[in-house]
Amino acid sequence: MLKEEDLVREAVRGDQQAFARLYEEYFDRIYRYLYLKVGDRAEAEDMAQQVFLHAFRSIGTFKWQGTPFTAWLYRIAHNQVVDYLRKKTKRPMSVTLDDTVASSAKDPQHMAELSVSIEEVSRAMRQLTEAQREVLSLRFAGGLSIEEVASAMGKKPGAIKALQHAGIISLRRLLVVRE
Amino acid sequence: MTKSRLPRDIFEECLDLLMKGETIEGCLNRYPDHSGELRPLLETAAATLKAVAVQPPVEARSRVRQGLLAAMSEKAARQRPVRFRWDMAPRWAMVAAAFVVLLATGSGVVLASAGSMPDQPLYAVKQVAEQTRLALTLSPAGKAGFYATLADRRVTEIVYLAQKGKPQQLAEVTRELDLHLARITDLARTDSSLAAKNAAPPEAALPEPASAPPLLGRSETSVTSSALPPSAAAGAIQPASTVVAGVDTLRGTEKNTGASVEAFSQYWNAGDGSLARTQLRDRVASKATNNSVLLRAALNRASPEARQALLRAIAVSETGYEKILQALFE
Repeated sequence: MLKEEDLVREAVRGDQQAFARLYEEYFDRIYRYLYLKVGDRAEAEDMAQQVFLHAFRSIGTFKWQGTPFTAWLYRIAHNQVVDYLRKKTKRPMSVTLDDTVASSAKDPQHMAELSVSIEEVSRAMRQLTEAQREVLSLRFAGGLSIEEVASAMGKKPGAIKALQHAGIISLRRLLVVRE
Repeated sequence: MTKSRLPRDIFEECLDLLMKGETIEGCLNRYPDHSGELRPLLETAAATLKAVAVQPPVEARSRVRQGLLAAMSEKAARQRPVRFRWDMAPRWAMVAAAFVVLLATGSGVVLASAGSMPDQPLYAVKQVAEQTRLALTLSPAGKAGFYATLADRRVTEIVYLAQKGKPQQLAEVTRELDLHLARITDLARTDSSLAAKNAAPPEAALPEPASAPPLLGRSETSVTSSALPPSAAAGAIQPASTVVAGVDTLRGTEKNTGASVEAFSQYWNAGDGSLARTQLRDRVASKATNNSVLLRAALNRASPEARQALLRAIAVSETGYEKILQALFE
């Protein structure tokens, strides 16, 4: 079984099968990351395709200089989200059936059984700072380590931990209805 | 000791443990002095981890993969331009481009992909190879024969996925199987070249397909393990290669009739559809029985989560083959 480093090296050299294996390895995580960021399944799918197409077309330019492949790929995904949000017209978020779940009261005393949907989390995270949102998305949906997130965001691990901690505190408040 | 650590570091350590399967209580036991502030954060983290653990739809993965394949084909075609000597519709151009990709990547890759399963990287190459072969098979009888071969492959994949406990992918492959079988029925009913005609007996003998025992009934009849290769009968989850080998053992006659696809074409070109029809009927009858046996035997080894999907596959397979045989006996 080839290590990821070997796969990436082969993909950079033009081995399409190596790239296909990287696709299989990362598709789920990239999809979840995008779904969490935009809150729409269909958009997440379209954007995931753009991410991998972009990655495929530019893999030849990828270099291992200080940026792991994971970080490079998630930067492409992040940029897709940025483009998407720029193009999106400013309109009120459409209410989906899941909103009825989101609006139900969540008793803080029973938070041990907290159950939220990805759409609820996505909506709540939009009220975080951009940096907090990015950290939580990469950690929770992307499954990246603190070091990988730090590399993807160009920050130090300590700063990432601080953003993560602050973000989860805010997220907690947002997911609980205040009485 | 623990009080000297920053809360963010403690939370990160606990989050890491949660991601690796530790419980909230397990994490709190490590830092009892911080449990008051830590508990709600870990509960939120656990709920968020659960919420984001969505599985992309199987169709989404397949669509994105197809888009990627198209880009790969386009890139390969740009790098090695191919000149065609006849006008081609766009569909043919894509098929030919895919064929070029297959040539460019080497026959070894195509061969390696032949036994790949839906959850493996080379499966996409296998799909492209099948579509290419199908598009380049011109005669209706040849197409019908190749669809029958594709149906066999889908059954092998269903057996594998049932063992692996992948009901969603199993359902998708079942849909493909349904389409293959329906296509054979359509060809049998609508194509005049497969219509029964009065014709002289063939001058050259063809390999005889195995005789077809009656179709099994739809009830869940058990299949004796002696009908299966020893490795399959053991009940352990088999790797893909073993599943394929085991299926091939039961399909023994498939290799003997491998030349019959081309034979169908020869007889079609010679204007004798009746023999093609008879050969196809016998071949399909044999496959119907074999595949029914394989799928029902797979029930014994299927993981619980895949069982329902496998039962559906059995129904699709048996119904599909019945319709084909009805059409061929008309």
